[in-house]
Amino acid sequence: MSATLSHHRLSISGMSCAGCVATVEDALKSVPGVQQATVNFAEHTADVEGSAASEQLIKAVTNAGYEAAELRTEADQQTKEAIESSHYKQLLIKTLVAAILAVPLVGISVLGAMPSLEGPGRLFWAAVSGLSLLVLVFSGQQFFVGAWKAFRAHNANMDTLIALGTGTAWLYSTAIVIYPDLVPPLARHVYFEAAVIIIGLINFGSALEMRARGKTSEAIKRLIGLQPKSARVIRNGKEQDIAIDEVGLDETIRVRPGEKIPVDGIVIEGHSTVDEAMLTGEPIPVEKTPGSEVVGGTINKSGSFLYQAKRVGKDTTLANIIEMVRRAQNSKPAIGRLADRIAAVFVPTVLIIAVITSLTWYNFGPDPKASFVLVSTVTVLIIACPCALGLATPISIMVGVGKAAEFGVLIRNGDALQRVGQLTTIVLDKTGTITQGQPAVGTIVPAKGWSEDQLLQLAASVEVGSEHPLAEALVNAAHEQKITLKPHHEFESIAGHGVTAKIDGQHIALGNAKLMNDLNVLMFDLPEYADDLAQQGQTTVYIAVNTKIAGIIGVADPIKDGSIQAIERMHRAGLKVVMISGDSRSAAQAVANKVGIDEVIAEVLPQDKASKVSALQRRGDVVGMVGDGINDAPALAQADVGIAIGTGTDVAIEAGDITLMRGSLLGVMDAIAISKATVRNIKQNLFGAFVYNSLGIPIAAGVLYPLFGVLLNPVVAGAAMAMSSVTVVSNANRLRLFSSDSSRG
Amino acid sequence: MLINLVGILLIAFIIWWFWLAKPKAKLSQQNEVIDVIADNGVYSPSLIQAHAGQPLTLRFIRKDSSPCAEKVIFADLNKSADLPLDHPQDITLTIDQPGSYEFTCQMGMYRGKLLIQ
Repeated sequence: MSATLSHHRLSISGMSCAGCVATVEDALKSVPGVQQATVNFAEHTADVEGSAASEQLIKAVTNAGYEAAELRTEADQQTKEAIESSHYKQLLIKTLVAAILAVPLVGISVLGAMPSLEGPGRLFWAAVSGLSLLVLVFSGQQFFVGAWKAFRAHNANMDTLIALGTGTAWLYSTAIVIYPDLVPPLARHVYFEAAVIIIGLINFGSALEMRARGKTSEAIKRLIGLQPKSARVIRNGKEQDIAIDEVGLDETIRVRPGEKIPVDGIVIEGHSTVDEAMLTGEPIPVEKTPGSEVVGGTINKSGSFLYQAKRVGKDTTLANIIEMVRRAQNSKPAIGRLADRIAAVFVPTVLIIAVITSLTWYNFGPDPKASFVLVSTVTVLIIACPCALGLATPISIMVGVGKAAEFGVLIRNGDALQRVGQLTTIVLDKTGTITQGQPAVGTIVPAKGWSEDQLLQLAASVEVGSEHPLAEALVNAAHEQKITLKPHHEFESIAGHGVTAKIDGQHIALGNAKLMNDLNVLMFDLPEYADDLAQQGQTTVYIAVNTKIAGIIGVADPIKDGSIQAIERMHRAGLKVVMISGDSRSAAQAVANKVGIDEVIAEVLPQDKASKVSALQRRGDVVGMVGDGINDAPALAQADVGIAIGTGTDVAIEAGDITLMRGSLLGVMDAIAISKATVRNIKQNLFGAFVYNSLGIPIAAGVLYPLFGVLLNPVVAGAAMAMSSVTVVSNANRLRLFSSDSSRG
Repeated sequence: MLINLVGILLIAFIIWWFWLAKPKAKLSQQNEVIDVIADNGVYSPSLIQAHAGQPLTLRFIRKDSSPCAEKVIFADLNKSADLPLDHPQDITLTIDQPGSYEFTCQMGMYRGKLLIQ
């Protein structure tokens, strides 16, 4: 594969018939470096292979009389920032232009030097009318064009309100300048400065909102920033740097100290420690030796190593995390749907309120009626802010979901986020969730005539090759003790009981008390020892040789760091903590006692876990199930919130509603805390937006006038409206300051 | 009296135009890619008709540089995309259930609807 060969996908417009296909294809093929170009007429796309740059391809298509643009899967971050920066500047310039006319007009008004609408004063106001029209066109064009296009599409939006409000003020004022006799002398006021100031304020508000919005997507920018740009691969025995997109599956990659790991893979040579904190939130670097998995985007600390790429491009863990966070950021919880429904009918409703307001003032208002009608109607149109309502939920979700990702907590969608705060019960799977899931031999009790090493040798020799977690513990212990294993024959597994095999012609049975009873093995006082071990949380394995008891081996699964602390935090948060386990009741109870579990559901087969969760739900519990996401998938799906827990590299990201990238249970409370904080933030935003609109609109319409003689100035309404969305975004940004108990240590 | 009559007619017009009258829907043909321009606060076309179970590709072309237009969200379909300015972005959907599905910008000001038959 050549390092410079690339694939471009272009969208082509202007093709009217299949004949155009050949013309476009020829144009593309004429570009130097193009090896293949295929145009799809139905899709209006062209796929181009070769070394030509996309700009050259677009130019060739344009020269052939068509239009082309590159189809991209995601926005290039730098381009996006450049566009936002240019848009921000435009908004400030528009604000400045409006201010240049507004400031002198306000100055004249404050000084009481407003020329009269009669005589030479009319010329002055005619000039102001012309200048303010220029400002409306320059600084407010987007509102008027937007309002018109929306109108034609039977839609009404923010632009409709601004355009109608400022347009009405300008038209009324201009009409009075041209025909002062249209209204009684008392009503002969002009509102040019109001129209200009409102346009300026709204542009300024949009600029502030844009600045604040930039911060809301910091988390996703940080995740995208973790992706290295290049990788050092070994091809034909030579090391070479290539672009990250060009790394193929199974390629060998060299990572030097301090470098970022480019894609996911398995270490094949060398030794190092890797900082995975950026993905898992786990601060302690993880040791990597041949056979260990490494994840793209993490940082190699001390050593240099070679590894084989196993997941590249869109399949890497980091790419999956980015995709999940992005999708979640765009989702909405049920709490936000009401706001959506209101936003959908909001603007036409405000238009109707504005008409009712003007009719009310016209029929019942004092003189000068025309002025009151105009001021109240324009103020109603301008103060109403559907943006604050529409932004309230998504902007908090953007920040909350992004912040959670920083703690290694991936939240699938807005609904999961909302449900987390309603949980009453946390169900924890025992093995791999509360405990490390890697059992180790604890206590060995030999019967008379046997030694500890002999027992371990027999047990490990029978179990070698088996994938059962207990077998792994026995074999590892034998290796650690440097015990030589013997070959076994006639291996037989008896489900739910244990295994039997022959070693050196002797019949060896390895399993639980049921197996021993079935084989009529006399166990003497060993069951008492077994009970003691079970109370310490050890699972016991009996060993019989030729149906005579040889001893028992206790296997314990150590409790994970942070489990006890996390369960304490769950209790403090008022949650009931239930443990579910396939182990015997006594073994499960022993672990439960150590970590402080409220209720134990033991001896549950993996396939029955979901029905146990469902039983808890039937008694009224709102259940969050925490499990490894692989064996517990049905239980995670049954729970109100499924929380998959993993250790960075092996976690099944899509398994739960929430995925904890760090193996510790402390992440559960981080997830709960940040979800609650986000939902609280959404409620504050929605409350603020509802209250703002439901108080602002009646006040603007003049409900306070009969009581207190107060009528809102349209300029004040413009300022309030511009600031309402800025307030919503700024409130959401407060979530960026969230810190969890576990991160504080 | 005239003013009141005009006001009442205006209210009736608002109700009719924005809520009762429907814009003409763009009917998608099999395998057709429909260009949807996001500009000046509206998606054009904003009403798209398609058949259930058939893949429908919408090619969003964002012309509006304001951040309002930067995302399109199909809330009921749990689908969303970031729209790069002036760079078409394809979204392919296959909807099996007939009905009406809205697509909006992040704050619901840009609004469009898919009518699946």
